[in-house]
Amino acid sequence: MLKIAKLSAGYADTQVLWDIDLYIKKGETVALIGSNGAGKSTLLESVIGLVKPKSGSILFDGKAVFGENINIPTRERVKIGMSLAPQGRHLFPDMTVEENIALGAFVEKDRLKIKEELEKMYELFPRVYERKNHPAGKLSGGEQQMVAIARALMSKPKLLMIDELSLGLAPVIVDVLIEIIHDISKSGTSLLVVEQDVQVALSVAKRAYVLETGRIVMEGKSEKLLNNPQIQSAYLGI
Amino acid sequence: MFEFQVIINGLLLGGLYALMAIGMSLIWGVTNVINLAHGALIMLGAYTTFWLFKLLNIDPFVSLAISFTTLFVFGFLVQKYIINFVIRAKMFITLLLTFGLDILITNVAQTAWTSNFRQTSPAYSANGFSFGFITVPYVRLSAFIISIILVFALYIFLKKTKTGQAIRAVSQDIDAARLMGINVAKTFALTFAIGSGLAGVAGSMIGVLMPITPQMGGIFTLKSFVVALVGGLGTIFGPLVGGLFLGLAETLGSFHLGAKYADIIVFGILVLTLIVKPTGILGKNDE
Repeated sequence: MLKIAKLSAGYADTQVLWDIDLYIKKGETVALIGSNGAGKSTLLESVIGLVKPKSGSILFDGKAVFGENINIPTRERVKIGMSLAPQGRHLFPDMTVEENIALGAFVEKDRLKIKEELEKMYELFPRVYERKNHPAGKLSGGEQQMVAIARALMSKPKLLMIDELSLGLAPVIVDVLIEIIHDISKSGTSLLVVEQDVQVALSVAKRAYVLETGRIVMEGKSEKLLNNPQIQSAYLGI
Repeated sequence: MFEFQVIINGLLLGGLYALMAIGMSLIWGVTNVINLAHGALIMLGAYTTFWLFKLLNIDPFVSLAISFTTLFVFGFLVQKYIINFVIRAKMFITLLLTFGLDILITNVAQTAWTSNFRQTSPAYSANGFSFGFITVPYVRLSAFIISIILVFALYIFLKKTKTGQAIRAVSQDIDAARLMGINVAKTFALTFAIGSGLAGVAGSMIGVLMPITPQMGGIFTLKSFVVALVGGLGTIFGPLVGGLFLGLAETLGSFHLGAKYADIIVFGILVLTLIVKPTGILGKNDE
């Protein structure tokens, strides 16, 4: 589904990512673990095209979206099935919840299909439905995250990326979100979830990458990583 | 009784102010560009209607649509091929650029059309109707009604259409808008085009109400600026509220205190607004 090779990226003079190799198979859920400033968000933003990498290549669904002389804009990447629920949610604060979610289907022209998709989202997130006419800026953090995910799902992505799934949210809400991630995964969507909380990350994903200061330092099956002494001391405090 | 007439005059002037300011407010609110060439666009609208009337005898109210379309295209091209290159730069740069555009447009117009005063004067331009002591000039009333219609049309456009949604999305969060698959550059250009088109309509009306010259733009840029700020930036109804408020204040003020105080009142209100409620009458108080 996604294949990143030798990707380097950064802002102006600061390089943030170094030679990243990462792949996601069709239908797979992969976690990306790392502490603050490791470059997780930059990696997701490179994949979706908000950040222009310096070198390397990104292949999505067999199509090169970034490479030598190739850099297709974000809106084209959304059209072919990529989607990102960004860090900090980035909802449109003055629009209602429903307007926010509906905008997720901006690339879809058929109003009926948008409506259908919207109904599906309300089924998936009943709490969001109760709030549909509220301004998005007035929601709690957990509700905002649900709206952000619903909005990102509206374009019916083949690959959904979620940046900081659980950051700043109450454990009860995190449990709900984990359930929802499982549901999304069951429907066949591939997922790339960025997460600082290793427990959460490894409970949603079968496989994970560990990013440290811009480099992938570890990769493997979740249970293997959970038992890794380095991971245990660095991220789990064991 | 005079008071009543003054209030009517104030409201009618306010409608015109609102019409002038809608475009500037929209462009400012969405693209964060304070378009100092806004008055020059109003001037172009005024001349469009003037020439269509003078050369082809097209009624000013018919030429509103032509004026809108002409300025829409002009604004689109100016944004796409000039302003777009500095859209992410600091506000100072966009101020400089639009200031330069203002000088350029004004001088080209002056070379082409001389600085003579002209007026679009259809037969009905001085007509009006009265009831009791009060007289209402047709043209001013029409400008007022058109202004209100355009504000509501803009509201519906921004709320209900896909392009409108895109414009609102871009104004609230550019990166999130990109993630939705919105073409931000195109949305900026469209916003500029709509704002310019509205300036064109305002110019057409002004050309019927008062004499025009290529240098007329400056004061309209200033007034639109004040109306947009006082009404509340980034709000759809801000220009209407701000325009009516300033129109009333200016007319009542100059009636009671003397015409020379008109500008003092208008800019005094601007200063007061900036001190008391910087987000404007309809603006939100969250900053």
